[in-house]
Amino acid sequence: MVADACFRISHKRPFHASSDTTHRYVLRPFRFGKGKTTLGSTGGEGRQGEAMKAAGLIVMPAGFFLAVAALVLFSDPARRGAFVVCGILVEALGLAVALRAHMQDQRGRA
Amino acid sequence: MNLPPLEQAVPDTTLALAFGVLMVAPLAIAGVALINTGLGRSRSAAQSLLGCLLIFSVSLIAFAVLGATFAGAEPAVAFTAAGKSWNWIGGGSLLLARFASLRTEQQCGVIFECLAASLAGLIPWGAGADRLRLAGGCVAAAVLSVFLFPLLAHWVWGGGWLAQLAPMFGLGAGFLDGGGAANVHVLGGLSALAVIWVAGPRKGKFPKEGLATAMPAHNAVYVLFGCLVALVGWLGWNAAGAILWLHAAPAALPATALNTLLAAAGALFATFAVTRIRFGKPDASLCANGWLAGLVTSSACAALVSPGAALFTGVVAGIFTPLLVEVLELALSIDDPTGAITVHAAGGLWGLFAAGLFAPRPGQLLAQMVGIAALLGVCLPLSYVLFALLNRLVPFRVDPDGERLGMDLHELGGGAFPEFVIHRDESYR
Repeated sequence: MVADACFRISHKRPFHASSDTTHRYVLRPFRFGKGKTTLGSTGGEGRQGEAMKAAGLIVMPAGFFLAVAALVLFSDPARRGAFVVCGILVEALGLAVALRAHMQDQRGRA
Repeated sequence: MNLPPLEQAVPDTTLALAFGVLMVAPLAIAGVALINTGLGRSRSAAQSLLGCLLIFSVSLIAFAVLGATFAGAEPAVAFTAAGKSWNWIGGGSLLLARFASLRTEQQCGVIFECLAASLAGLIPWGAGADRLRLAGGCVAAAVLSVFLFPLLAHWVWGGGWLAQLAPMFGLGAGFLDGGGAANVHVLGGLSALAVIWVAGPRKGKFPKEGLATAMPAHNAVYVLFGCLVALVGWLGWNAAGAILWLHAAPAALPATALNTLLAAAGALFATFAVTRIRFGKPDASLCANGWLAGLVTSSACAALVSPGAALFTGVVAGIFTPLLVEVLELALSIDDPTGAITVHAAGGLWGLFAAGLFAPRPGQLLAQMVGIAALLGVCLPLSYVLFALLNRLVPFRVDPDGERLGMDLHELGGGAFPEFVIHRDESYR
């Protein structure tokens, strides 16, 4: 989707189609529940990335509960608003950690 | 714009109008399906479009059989805390057994929810284009329709705790979302991120050195035509949502339609300008994304804000869409061929925030922010955990051989364009 944009940014050659062609129609049996799963990785970096991602994702519901708690604990709209914003910031922090873990995982795979 | 109280009964003529515009709403799904297909590769086109039809069917059946039970208006799980009753999960009959005894308004609501669940399922499918198996996509859509969508639909549309923020805490009119920006687009967009995390990027997308490899969309005509088709569907979607969930009078529908058009047009113009300035020439696929992001923002705020605010909301969405797409791909290594995370998740969140910002009710902004906090805190963690577990049972990703051949040949045994020459890309040499 960002292909053209990436091309312009990176000045790479466009996606190049080779002259190799295939007219073979390969019919394969349906394999249910077999094959490799792509979640995680056997390497240390992959495990670390998964743990980091899990930590980030656990932080996100904590931000949600902070926002809900603000409704119950405070009646002043300003305090409520401040705590709800804090809750969203906590969620953003969790998301940032999870995204960072994904980047680390990608680097490990490459 | 002032809406009537939610308790007011809906007249029959208004319901007839709602049913009429609801019948146009599937065009939004058709548009998204075309966009998903066009933004993928040509060797996966048939699998992508067939997947859209399959996911539509699976989501619809899953929601009708099980999901509607939890989305129902009757509270099934509610507890009292701090002197307030918190309504978390709805209760209803399995297989919509009591559908005939529902009021016409509720019946239209169920149809709306069925379509909304289907659209939510299509969003992650687009994000996983060119590597997601049909079985994996269907299972993910079924899980969304049975667990996550009904939960959010009950919170927002079924009288759940988010809808009750007004009587419970005096926050505006409670969390408002007439067109499904929250439980369709934000849910779908965040689930798309979860699917991408679980399935991984396309082979050769992120090489060891250098920037991400360019993998162009195979058919810009599908994508741009899909945008036009989606616009028609969105007009029906927002109008039906305004009547059914916000209890808007028919007199408010022209303003809703105008706001939808303005948001889309403003977003397209902004994306066109941004890509023109940034890359020297406008980018067709990013412009399509901007258009769709404008429509997504209109889902949240078209029935609530003034035309000027709708235009501003669309323009902002059009500005951040190309920039965020670029950041996600180049900086965060997220391979999202359709831009689903940016368009649906970010666009939806911005629309919900803007609805609170520009709605003429005190406390509405705080209600919308509580809703945003709920969406972020629940959708992504839950969908990731569910998809990661499902991936152990039904692998989402096709095997490397299938990815090399293309999804059409691998999963369907034939291509979408059999008279065309099928190429092999340089990343597999």
